[in-house]
Amino acid sequence: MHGYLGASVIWSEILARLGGRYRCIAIDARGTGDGARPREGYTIDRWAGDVLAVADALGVGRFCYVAHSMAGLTGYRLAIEHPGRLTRLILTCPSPAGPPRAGRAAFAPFRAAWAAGDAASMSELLASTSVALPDASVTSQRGRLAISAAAGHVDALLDDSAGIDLRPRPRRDPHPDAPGPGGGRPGPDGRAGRLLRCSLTRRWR
Amino acid sequence: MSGVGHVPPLERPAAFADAVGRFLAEGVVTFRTLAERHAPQPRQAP
Repeated sequence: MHGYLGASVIWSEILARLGGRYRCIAIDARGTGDGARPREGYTIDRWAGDVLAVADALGVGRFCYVAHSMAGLTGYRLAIEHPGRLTRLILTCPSPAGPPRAGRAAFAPFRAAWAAGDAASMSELLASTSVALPDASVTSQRGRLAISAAAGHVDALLDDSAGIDLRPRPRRDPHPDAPGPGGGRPGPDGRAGRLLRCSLTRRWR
Repeated sequence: MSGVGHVPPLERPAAFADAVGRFLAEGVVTFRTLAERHAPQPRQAP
């Protein structure tokens, strides 16, 4: 799974090398590449649901999830909430599990190029994140694909990812009046979020 | 994969595919397993 402003094209050379040994499936996230461009659903949770939906549609029960960058957040979600579906989790340059992350300000130039429909500038920006790219055609292709991304992918997904915090928290003996699990009141960030972090802590410890 | 930017699948596809293949074949690779793999072998008694 590709990352923010990406598309399945980034895996083309990988598929050529691994396709003979494994069944490889490269997905365009909603709002990118050749994927559908619905008006809503640009969240990490929905992204994870889309991955499972594709697997279900293809009759794939358990799979190794290989992801780059922001799609790493989707990987964390899958590992926490659907560990039975994964055989492996391979994340390269994944987004951190919690803040601080590069936020809107860091992506402002990308969003400006997208808003202007400036594929050339987008290509240069994307290339600037890499030390070396195989050839200019791939770079320009990435630029064109990024420009064609849906607004929901460019903005809503970025906002959603900024609010996610899956970092394990240090264990403490819960005070009877403390919020969250062990206490009587839900925490300020919600019980579900605490349970997710506890689950992450247990599973990867 | 040193000397790689933010997009290793594009920048070093051969190395990346090799790493993925090894991971799938060998399971979890940690610093410990790497250290054990590259640890000096005990010398044979003369």
